[in-house]
Amino acid sequence: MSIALLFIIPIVLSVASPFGFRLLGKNWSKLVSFFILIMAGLVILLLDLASIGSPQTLSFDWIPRLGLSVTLRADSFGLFMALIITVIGAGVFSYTSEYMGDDPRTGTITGWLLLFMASMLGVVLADNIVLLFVSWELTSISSYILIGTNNHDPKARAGAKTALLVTSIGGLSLLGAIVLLGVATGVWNLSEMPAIHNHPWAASIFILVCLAAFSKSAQWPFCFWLPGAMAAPTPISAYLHSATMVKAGVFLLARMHPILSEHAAWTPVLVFFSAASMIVVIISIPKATDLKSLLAHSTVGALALMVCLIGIGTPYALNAMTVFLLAHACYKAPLFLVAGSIDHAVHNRDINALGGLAKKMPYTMLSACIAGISMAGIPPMLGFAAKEMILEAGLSYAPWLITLITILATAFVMVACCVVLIPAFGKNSCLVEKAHESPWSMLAPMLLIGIIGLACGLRLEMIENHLVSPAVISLGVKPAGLGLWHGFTLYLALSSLAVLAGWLAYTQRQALYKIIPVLPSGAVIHEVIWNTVLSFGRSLTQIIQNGSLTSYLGTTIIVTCALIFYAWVQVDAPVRPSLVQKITLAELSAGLLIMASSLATAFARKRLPAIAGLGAMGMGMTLFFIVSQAPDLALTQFLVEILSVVLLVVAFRHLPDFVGEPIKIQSGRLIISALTGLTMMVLTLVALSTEYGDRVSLWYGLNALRQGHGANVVNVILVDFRALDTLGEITVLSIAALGVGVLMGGLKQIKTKKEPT
Amino acid sequence: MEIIMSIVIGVCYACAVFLLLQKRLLQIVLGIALLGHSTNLLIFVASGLHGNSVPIIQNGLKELPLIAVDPLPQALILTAIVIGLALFGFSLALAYRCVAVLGHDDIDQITHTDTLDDPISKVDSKVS
Repeated sequence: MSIALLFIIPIVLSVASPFGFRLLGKNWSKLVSFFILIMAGLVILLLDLASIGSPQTLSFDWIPRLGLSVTLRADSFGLFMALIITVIGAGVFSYTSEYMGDDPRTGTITGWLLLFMASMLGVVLADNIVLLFVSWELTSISSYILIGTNNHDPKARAGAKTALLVTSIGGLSLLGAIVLLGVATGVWNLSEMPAIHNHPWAASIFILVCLAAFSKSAQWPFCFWLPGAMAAPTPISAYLHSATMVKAGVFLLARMHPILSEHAAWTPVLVFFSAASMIVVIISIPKATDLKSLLAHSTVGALALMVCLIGIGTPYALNAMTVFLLAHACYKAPLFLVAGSIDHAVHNRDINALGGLAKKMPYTMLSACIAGISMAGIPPMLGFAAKEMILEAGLSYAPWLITLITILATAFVMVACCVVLIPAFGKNSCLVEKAHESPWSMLAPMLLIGIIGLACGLRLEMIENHLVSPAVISLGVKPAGLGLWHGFTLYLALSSLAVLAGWLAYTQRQALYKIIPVLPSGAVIHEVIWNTVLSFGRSLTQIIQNGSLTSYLGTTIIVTCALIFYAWVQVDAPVRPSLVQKITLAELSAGLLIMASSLATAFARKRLPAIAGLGAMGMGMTLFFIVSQAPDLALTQFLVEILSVVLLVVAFRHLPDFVGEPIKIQSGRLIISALTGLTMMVLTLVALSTEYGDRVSLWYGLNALRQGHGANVVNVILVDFRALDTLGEITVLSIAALGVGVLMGGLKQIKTKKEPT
Repeated sequence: MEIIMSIVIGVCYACAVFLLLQKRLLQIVLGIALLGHSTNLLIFVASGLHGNSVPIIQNGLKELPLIAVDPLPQALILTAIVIGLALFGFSLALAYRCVAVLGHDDIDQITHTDTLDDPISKVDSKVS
C-alpha cells in the first residue's frame, strides 16, 4: 500500500496542479514540496523494511490476456534511487515556487514535473520489465515537454526535439531489449530473471541495453543532447538533467549487471564508451562559458564515470558507483540551483561576465562552496570518499590508460568546479550592483542538499549501514567498507594529483583552449543525419507529388495495369472466348463506328471535331445497343447523347480552343494509353472465356411478370426490384444538376454585378 | 464477334486515357465521357453476346425465355448511362467555371487551392 502511495500522491497532485496554482499562486509549489517530503519519509520507512530482507511488493493485473501485470518491488537499490528522487524533488519544488514566481505556466510545469517524478519512481521501483519500459518512455516525454517550456524560443524547441529524438532511439532499443529478454527467459520480472550471458541472444540484448542506457545517460556518441537540454528552466535542469532522469541509464545498467555482466563484451564495451565520453568532456569543459552548459558537460563526465565503474563490474567498483551516485546527486543539484539563482538575480550565466557576487549573495555562494568542494573531491565531503573509491576501483582494473583517463576526468571536474566558483570570488563585474540574495525557499534547498552531502561525508558508517550496503546487496554484490580516511595511500596521492592537475589546468585554461583540437562532436553527426533525412523527404515529395495531374494519373494507370497483368499471370486464366458468334454486318459496322469516332475524338486538333467525334461515338453506341437486342439502352443512350451535345455546345463557346501538341512528344502518353487498351482488351477476353455458374438474372426473368407485373424485365428491375438504387441514381442526378446550376448560374450574376463597377 | 468487340473496347479505353492525360480541361472532360462509354461497352460485352431476343416477356408467356438477352447488365448500364451524364455535365460546368474565373484551362497552372485573396472566393462571397 505504501508503495502505491508513492505513485498516487504525485499523480493526484499533478492533475490538481493547474487548479492548485490558480488557487494558491506560488505557494502551491511549496505545498507540493511538503507532500514530497512526506513521500521521502515513506521511502525511508520502506528502506528499513527492505534492509531486513522483506522488500514491499505490489502487483495487480494490467492486461491479463497478454500476461501483463503491474509489479512494483521496493528493493534497496530502487529505494536508494527513490530517496534521491524524492529528497531532491522536494527541494526543486520549493525552489520552483520562487524561481518561476507568478509566471502563469508554473501550474502546468509543476504538474509535468510531478508526472515526471511518478514515472521516474516507476522506472526505479518497477519489477515488471514492461512497466519499466512504459515508465522510461514517460520520463522521455515529460522531459521533452519540460525542456520546451519556453516554447517561443527556437533554441528551446530545437533542444527539446533533439532530446526527444535521441532518447526515443534509446526507448525503442529498450523495447527490443525487454522483449528479447522476456522471450529468452520466459520471465518478465527483474527479480526472478536468471543470468543469460550464455544465451544466443545475449549479444543482441546487450547491444540494445547499451543503446538505451547510453542515449538516456548522454554517453558518447549521444552526449550532445544534454547541453542542448539546458534551455529548460533551471529547476528542471537540476532535477531531470543532473539528479534523476539522466541516471536512469546508469540505473538500467546496474539492474542488468547481474543478468548480463558475465558476457565477454560487458567490460570492454562499457569501459570504451565511458572513456570516449570522458574524452569529450575533457575537450568541452575548458571551452564552455555558459554556467549551465558547463555543469551539463561535467554531468556527462560524472555519468561516464558511473558507466565505467559498472563496466569494471567488480563488487568494489559497484560500491564506488553507488557512493558516487549519491555524492553526485548531493553536489550537482545544488550547483544547478546556484546557477539558477545567479541567472534569476542578474539575468546572466556567462562566466566571463560574472564575479564578486559573494558579497551580495552570501548564502547562495556558501552553498556553491559546499557543493563545489564536494565536487572537487576534497575532504571531508562525500565527494572525497567517492573519488577515493573510484580511483581504487579504476586502478584495480588493468589497462593503465583507463586509469589515466579517469584521473584526467577527475581533474577536469575540478576545473569545472573552479570555474563554477568564479561568480562568487572572481573580480567584481558591473553586474554586482543588480545582484540580490534569493528568498529562503530557494536558498533552503541548495544549502540543505549541500549539507546532506557534508553530513554523509562525516557520518559515513551510517550511510554505509543504512543506504549503500543494502543497495549493493540488492544488486547482488558484497558491500565493501567505506572510509573517509584510508591513510597515506597511493589513492590519496593520485587524488591529490588530480586536484593539483585540475587547479593547474584551471589557471592555464586559456592556453588549454588553444591546444585542444576541435573534434566533430555527436551534435554535428546528428545535424547531418537530420538534414539528410529532411532533404531526402523533400526530394522524394518533389518526385512523387510534383503537382502535375498528368503524372499522377499516368502512375496510377500504369500501376493498375501492371497489377491486372500480374493477377492474370498468377491466376493463369485462359483466353478462349468460348461463345464465338458469327459476325453480323450490323454489329461490325456499329463496332467500327465506335472505334473510329473514339479515335477521332482523341486525336482531334480542334474543339468542334472533338465534340462531333463524341457525338458520333454516342450514336455508335446507340446503334450497337439496337443490334444487340437492347432497346431500352438504345433509347436512353440516344436521349443522353442529345443532351450531352447540347451541354457541350452551350459550354464550348466559353472554353478556349486547344491546339494539340505534336504527336512526337506525346509518345509517353501514347504508350500509357496503348497499355491501358491492351489491358482492357485482355480483361474482356478473360471475362468472356469464363464459365459462369447460376445467373442472378434468371430469377429476374422468372419473376418479372409474376411479382413485378411488368413485361419489360429491364424496367421492372430498375423501378421495382432495385427501386432504391434508382432513387439513389435520381438523387445523384439532381445534386449534379444543382451543382451545374450553381456553377453556371452563379457566373452570370457575377458578370452582371461586375459591370456597374 | 467477341474478339472484334474486345478490340473496340481496347481502342476506346486507350483513347479515353489518352484524352485524360492531356493538359486541357475540355480534353479531360471528353476523356471522362469516353471512359464512361468504354465501361458501358465493357459491361455489355463481358456479359456475353448470346441471346436472340429482347429482354421483354412476349404476350402469352409467363416468364422470359432462356434465349433472351441477359436483362441485368442492361439495367446496370442504364443506370450507368444516366450517372455518366450527371458526371459529364458537372465536369463540363466545372471546366466552364474554371475558365471563366481563371481565364485559362491548363491544368498544370492550377496548382493550388483558392485562398481568401483569390478571384474564385471573392466571386463566391459576392454571389452570396
